[in-house]
Amino acid sequence: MSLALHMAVILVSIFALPHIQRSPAMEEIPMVVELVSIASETNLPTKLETKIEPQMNEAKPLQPTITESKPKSVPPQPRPQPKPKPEPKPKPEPKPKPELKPKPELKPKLKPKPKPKPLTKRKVKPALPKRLAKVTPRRKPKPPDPFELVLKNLAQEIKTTKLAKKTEKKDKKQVRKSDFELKISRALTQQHIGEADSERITMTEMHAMINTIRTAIIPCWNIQPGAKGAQNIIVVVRASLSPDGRVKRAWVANKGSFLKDSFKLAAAETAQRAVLNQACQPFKLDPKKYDIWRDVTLSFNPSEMFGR
Amino acid sequence: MIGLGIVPQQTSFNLPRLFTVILVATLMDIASFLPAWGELRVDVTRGTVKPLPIAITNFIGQTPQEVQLGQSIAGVIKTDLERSGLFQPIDKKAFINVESSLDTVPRFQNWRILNAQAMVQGRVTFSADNRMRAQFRLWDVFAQQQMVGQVYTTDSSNWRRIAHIVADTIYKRVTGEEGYFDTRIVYIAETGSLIRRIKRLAIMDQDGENHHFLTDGSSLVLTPRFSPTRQEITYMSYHGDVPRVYIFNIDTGRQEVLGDFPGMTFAPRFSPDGNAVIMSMAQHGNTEIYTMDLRTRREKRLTRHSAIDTSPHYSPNGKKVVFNSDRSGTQQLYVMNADGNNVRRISFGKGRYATPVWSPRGDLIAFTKMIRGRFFIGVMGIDGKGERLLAKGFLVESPTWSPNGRVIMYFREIPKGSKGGKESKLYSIDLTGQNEREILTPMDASDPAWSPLIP
Repeated sequence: MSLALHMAVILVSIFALPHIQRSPAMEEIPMVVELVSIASETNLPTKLETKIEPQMNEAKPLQPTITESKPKSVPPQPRPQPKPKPEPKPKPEPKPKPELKPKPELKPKLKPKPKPKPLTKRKVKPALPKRLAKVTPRRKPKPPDPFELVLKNLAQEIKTTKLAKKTEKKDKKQVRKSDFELKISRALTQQHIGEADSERITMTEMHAMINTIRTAIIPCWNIQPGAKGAQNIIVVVRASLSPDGRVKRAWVANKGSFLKDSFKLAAAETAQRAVLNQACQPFKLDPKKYDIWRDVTLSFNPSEMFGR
Repeated sequence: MIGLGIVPQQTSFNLPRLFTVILVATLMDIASFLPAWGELRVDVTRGTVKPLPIAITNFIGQTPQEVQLGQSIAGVIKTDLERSGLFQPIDKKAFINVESSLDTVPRFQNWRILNAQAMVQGRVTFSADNRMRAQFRLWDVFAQQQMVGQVYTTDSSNWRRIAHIVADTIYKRVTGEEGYFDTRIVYIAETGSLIRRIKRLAIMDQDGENHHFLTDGSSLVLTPRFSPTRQEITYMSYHGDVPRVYIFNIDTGRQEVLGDFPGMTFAPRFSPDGNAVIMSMAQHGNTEIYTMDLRTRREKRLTRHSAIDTSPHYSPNGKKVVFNSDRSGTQQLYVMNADGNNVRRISFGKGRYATPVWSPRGDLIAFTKMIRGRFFIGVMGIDGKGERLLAKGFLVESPTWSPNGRVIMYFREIPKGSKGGKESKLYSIDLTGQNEREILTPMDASDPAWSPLIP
């Protein structure tokens, strides 16, 4: 998948971005980009600092997921619908076009920004990694993919950067990041104006939240270890929670694939019952973080019980 | 931390483009993890193993006869499900308000309070010709949905079987596996002293009801096994002091000796299609495995070894046979093709292995193991791996699978008194090693065989 994605990007870059093929500017523009892989226990800064364009306000919240979860077990899922139906069919859409539309709105915002400083050899400030780590969940339907925006404007950014001449350094305190850098920062931080402070969360809080739900569910998940192939059945249940920590609705996300197999169907319903079982609720979660845990996806995999 | 330096060159046209592409690809790497942050995701990798709380209401009826029968049917269903170990029927005294109609959606909150995760309701009506009409619904209390609903019409004398069928339907819908309540057990009923032991062929429902004898005890009988149609039983009898394999027809009561073999025949079992019987024959001090085609009455020798080869059992697809042999010096389990080729040993543990039985699922083999004077009932994979011992005792022997491959039945001998006496009982145990239960029989019992489901 990743390879295919890279190839697609490379091809697009080569053939669809004509500006790339233009003659390069004469200036040397050394640039160092430091990408920070976020540790699972990273404490994220809680203070917001960047304003988000209007189109970003329409984005759905990005609900951080468990960092230790296996990528394989995370099926591609569509963006959560505002009102999830009981049995939504997971239709991983590559990248809906609407996400690209905000571009025109983004440009006006970006243009007024100060032109990039002469990037002789600019290193990203230490603050950038922190900002990169600031991933705060938000809730809006169909968030514009920040990297779509970044990629779509990348050529322009590079062009702008190339055209920027070397100038003397002004007051260091007033050094501002280039649009490109700012966009990356914004893209990764995913903040927007409308968010309340309560919607921000650290990784530690996230883990605590996940553990709270997991610990509560375990006693209510009644598995059948004697069933044939029970250890290989993975059930994904999506749930909507009330502010009091109780489950309002829960449905098996991948139930369609289980209907023809009575073993799998039974396993799926067992997982659904575990989520719906009021005996294991309410989950003791911080009401102030309700927007974080309003919608939860639970992956039931009994592998640990089979010593795997 | 990943560092990436980008230095566009003045003189090259391709390099900047290359670097740009690399940058874009790198950014895509970043983007690839973003979706994973898009939701609160909880991985649950552990659960509990406990019975499912289920509320089984009496089947409603209009006349006293219907009401009485409705209670009886509900009682049988409750007993069946409870004995499986996978269900925990809720005491009826705790019921808050039982629905008086089968045609309205239940008030689920009344059942949720009891923590009932499933609820069964039904109705019994009699027609003018004394035929019974039984219908039931199984509800998922939490999801507030009907899981299954069926109607049966039959002679009222079959009410017990209808109850077993309903229990099977509930079992299958909740667990995903076929049920095994509408089945029967054939076994050896033992009476009398140790010296003058009388052994008779007996048959009963899996819950011990409808018990009756098939033979009168004049001849010693051993190792009864059902045919796939469960209308016939093959067994070994000492009729005329010569041990031979017989076939007994349950419908007609007729029994016949299987072939005129020169030696002693024993340990018979039907092939999965019911067209052949595989068994052992001892001749001139050597025991080999044979099959007999029941249509042509031709026998075929499968093993050729000076060791004792016995206790053969077909795989569910009929392509393999598992048996035990002491050809390696100790009694061990072997698997061979149905034509006798490709013999390979599968048991390598300490002790001796005997009476292998292939699971109806096809993935496991149950066996009796003897080590250091103790007996065990265990299972292993068909390649001999993953051995698990489920039950142990002074003498536990002769495992037989439930038709869904979930439960194993066997018999257990327990020393009794100081004069070498003993008592023998049937037990069942879940494949997980849980829920060991005694199967009640009117007298001592041994050599059980579980019937297939009635088609």
